[in-house]
Amino acid sequence: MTESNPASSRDVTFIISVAPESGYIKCHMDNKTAILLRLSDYVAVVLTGALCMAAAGAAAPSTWGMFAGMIIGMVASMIVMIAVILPFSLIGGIFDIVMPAMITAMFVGMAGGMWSATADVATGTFAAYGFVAGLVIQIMFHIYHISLQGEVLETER
Amino acid sequence: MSEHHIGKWDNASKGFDIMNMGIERRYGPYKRELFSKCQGDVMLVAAGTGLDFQYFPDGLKITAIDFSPKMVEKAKVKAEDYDGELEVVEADVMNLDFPGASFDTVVTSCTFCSVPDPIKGLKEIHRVLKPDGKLLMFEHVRAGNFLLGAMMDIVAPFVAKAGPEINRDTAGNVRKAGFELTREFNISYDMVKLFEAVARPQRVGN
Repeated sequence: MTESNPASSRDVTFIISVAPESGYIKCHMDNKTAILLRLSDYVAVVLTGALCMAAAGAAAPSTWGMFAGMIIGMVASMIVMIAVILPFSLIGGIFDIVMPAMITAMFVGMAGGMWSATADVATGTFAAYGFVAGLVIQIMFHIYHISLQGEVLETER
Repeated sequence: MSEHHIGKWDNASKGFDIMNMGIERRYGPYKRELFSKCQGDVMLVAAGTGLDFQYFPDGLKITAIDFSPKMVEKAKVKAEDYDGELEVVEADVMNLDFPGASFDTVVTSCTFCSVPDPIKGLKEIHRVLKPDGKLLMFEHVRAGNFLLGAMMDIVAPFVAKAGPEINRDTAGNVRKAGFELTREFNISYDMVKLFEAVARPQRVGN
């Protein structure tokens, strides 16, 4: 059995998994660090939603029609998404944010582009809707992450 | 190893430590726990700039390899801080110069997203591992979810221009190379994982 030394009483133990072949894995991470990393994921995706939808709305002119608006909105959204998540990847790595951010950017880019093509909407409104979309998607991904994290059973491999 | 691959990772060495800052912060504790299972003679494949040296327990005899001369140059500096025997050498995991059954443990850390022929590389690792030697891996892989996996497939060719291939089936490759996969552990979604495998002796004729 392999065990790590508990670093301090503030440590939180993540996922203690039992594998008969290889013993325990205990991962000690500073409680504050763990919370800040998760918070950073939320901020990254919510910010992605807000900025991408605002960018998609600004990029898609109302004279181009819904389909063109959707395409332009998606392209603008993807560019903004990359610019937003790169700095956040320096905080907690890219793996935890890239998928929710990409899905958010795709969704709000399409929606923002199409909406902008059909109605005159304020940038702030786009940003607010993008914020909510990002939050909902990140919550869903967080739940998905929790459902997957840990030992993969032999029957599921 | 092609000049293109060497050049790509030589270039990546410039900002490697900064780009991996977040990954080390988040996944460092998992790596430390995985690496604590190292025994005997250890080989670290794709050492990069040596960021992973800090996770090894003290007192081990480690051979760290990388095919990028610029990475090796930087890793040698970090190796000086290790409290044990740590040698950094320029080598290609797909064509190792080490004799068979040289190591008790082989460790990889975000390695098999970058090896051009992962099965060939894993077979070489199998060859240099002693019978029943351990392979410990920290890797990011293709997501199992249909939608996420498909998205990774679309994006992978673009990411691979400057970095790794993000849609590898590493568990499948480990098995194809003749290992017995004893453990699979999801860290982030099912995309960042720990693997443990054992190099069972190959039967004659296999």
